[in-house]
Amino acid sequence: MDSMDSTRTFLQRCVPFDRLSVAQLDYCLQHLQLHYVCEESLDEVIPKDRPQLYLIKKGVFDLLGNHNQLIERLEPGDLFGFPSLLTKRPITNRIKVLDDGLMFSLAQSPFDYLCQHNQEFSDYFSRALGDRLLTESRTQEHDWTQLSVADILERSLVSISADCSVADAALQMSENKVSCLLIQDNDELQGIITDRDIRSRVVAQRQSYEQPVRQFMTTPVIELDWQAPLFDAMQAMTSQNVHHIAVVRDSKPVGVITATDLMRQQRSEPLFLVNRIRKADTVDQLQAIAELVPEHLHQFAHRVVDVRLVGDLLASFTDAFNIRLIRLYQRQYGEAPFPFVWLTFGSQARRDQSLSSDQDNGLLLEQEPDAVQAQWFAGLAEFVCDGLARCGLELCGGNIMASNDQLRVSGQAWISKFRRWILEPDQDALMRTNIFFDHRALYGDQKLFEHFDQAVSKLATNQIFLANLAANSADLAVPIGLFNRFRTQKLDDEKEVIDIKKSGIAIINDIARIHSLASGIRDCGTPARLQRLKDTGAMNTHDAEDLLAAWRFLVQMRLTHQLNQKTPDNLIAPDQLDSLTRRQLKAAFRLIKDAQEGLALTFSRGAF
Amino acid sequence: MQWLKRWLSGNQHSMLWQQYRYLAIDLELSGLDHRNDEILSLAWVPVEPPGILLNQKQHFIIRTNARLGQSPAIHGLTREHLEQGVELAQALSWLTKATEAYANTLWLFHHAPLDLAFLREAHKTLGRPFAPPKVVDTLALEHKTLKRRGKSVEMEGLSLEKCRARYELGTHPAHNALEDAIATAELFLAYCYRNFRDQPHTLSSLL
Repeated sequence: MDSMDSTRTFLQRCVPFDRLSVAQLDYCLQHLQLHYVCEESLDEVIPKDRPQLYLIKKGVFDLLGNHNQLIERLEPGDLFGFPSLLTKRPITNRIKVLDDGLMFSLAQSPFDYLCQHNQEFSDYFSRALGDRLLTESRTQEHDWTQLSVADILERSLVSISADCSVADAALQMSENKVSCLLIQDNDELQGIITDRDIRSRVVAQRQSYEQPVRQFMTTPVIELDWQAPLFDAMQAMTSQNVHHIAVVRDSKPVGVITATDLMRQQRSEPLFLVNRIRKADTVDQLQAIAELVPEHLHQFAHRVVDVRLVGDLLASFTDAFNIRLIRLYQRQYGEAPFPFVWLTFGSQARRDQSLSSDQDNGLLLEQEPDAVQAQWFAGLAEFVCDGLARCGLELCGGNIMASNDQLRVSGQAWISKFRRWILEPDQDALMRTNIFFDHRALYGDQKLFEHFDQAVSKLATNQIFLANLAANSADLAVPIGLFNRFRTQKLDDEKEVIDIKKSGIAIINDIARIHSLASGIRDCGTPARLQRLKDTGAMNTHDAEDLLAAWRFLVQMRLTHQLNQKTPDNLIAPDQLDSLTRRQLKAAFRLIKDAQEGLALTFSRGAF
Repeated sequence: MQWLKRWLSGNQHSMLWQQYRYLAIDLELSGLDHRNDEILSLAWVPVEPPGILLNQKQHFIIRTNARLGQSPAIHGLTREHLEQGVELAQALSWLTKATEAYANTLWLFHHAPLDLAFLREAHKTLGRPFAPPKVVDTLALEHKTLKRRGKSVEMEGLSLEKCRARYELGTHPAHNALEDAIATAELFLAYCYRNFRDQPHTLSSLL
């Protein structure tokens, strides 16, 4: 009697140990070891140079491939380690501890003994090896973010002329078994109509379906070039809140991709989460989804080749939360008394948030509201800002939020604010108002926003204002000193660090903003601005590309840094970087310093 | 003179706790009184953090005429088991061997005083010298930790099962000496790795 009854029972419940005879099971029990597995003991339990078979008794672990892609999530009863035992190849995968726990291990020779003496046991592992090799190659190749729109475009184009009747359109749809039609005349895209549009705009409104589709179509259609990455399609859908995107080739429509097409590609991936956000009915539900976001980003970061996409994904999540909160408020308190725009500022507007970003937003109203109307908008602002805070976007310390009644005003009032900032700038105000020049309409009336944006853009070409902005930005210290040495700041715990947001990313954002304002460029993200500056010749190609590369490098570095932190910050310790990364970081700062000096030169004449 | 002896022999407890070997031991008893009741079985398993060396486990049923009273229901040990068992003296000498086989071996119990009292009594009865190594007690450690955190010891409970639950180790079929020894070994490792995460700890943190 060996009395290890619980271990015996446990093994008997685990495939393929359930195939062992009593004697073989006894043999197995005599050769098992048990280990406590946590971050600290991982390397001892799973030595790189000695392959073993592992069986999880307790705890949760991720098995990661050599590109850090998730191969399998391991839970009690799961096995790993057999590929190296069977193939005698070196171990390439690694384990990440999610919950501490216990693992059994079985060394190579008892494993071989059992394989030789039990065919079923042996077959199980050869089959599992085959499966594993497949999954591993699939997880490497099947990075959907690397696919283009054309890769998933399956159906050929189904379109109809704008003068056809709704009845014809419905007939076309059912004949072709599609849920939407592109509407085009002479190869020119006019609009799109979906079966849902027909239901809600025609049937439910008791309209005659002999009327032309022109009357009911959605226009303009969001379109993407057929070679655009699939990720852009996801972003377009989430940021514009549409389910259909027209695909064009040489400006001619070639088909449609839908949210369902995308989801098929991603399975459990981001769009599912975005979809759940869209369907949430309460702030509680949104908060519960928000709690999944960091883990989700982590998983996603492991799976994609380009880590920058994680930042874009975060922006998509934030937008989706924000839009959903506005909708939930409208559902409860009715439609707005008149058109408005939910404005986002700063990093959310630029779509380059990090995990430590707070919220910056405001409301642009069509007119000054009376007391009752004001109450509706105040309620909206409070509901959304609080809701965002619960979803992890901290309230803005500087009170740049729609819940501040100074930032919940008509277009005219906004413009006079901007005029004051631009024409009567003082140093302090400049710093604070910088953020307002990165703005985006997240939700609401596009025309309203267009007027506002145009007016701001016109005002902002003021030379004295730009000179002040430039002087201000030129004063920010880039942390690179004599002889190309880092200038670090010392933390309380003696660690030497650099704030790569304040003394890197933010300065590039400034430079791109100032040049763009001067040239009347109305894009708001830094990459888009630099691209536009390059295209219009406002900045020379070389400089624009260098700055963009530096910006991407820093943003990626920050993200990678934050994904491994409990409380995300922007502080990088240069002496903990490898020598290549350190050199790249120096090069990035060097570029920023040059661009900063160039900025001061270009705009300083305006000040005199 | 204890301190002088310790001082002269170098600081014995200065190695990291992971560098020692522990024997997780458990006894099944016919009752709680070491003067009248007897050891029914004795089991141990060596622990070399982070490993539990299951292949070196030992489990002895002791040949005895003890009145079993209620205990068959608890231990699952019947008269037949006990009659087929080994002599207590034999089991104790194996324990001594297992203890002395490696340098720096300690004993590990959950609630050491009870088991130690029985072992001391058994050695005395058999006329064997009793020289146990240093002893680590997971119950005492948990007691200290709970109190330091301002938790109510009565509320939380210190049974092996309750302690294991706090470290999310799951249930185990209790009341077989070997199962309990393994369960104690698991608890010990979980206790150390979880509580000693912030900085390296030497053996003195466990004594």
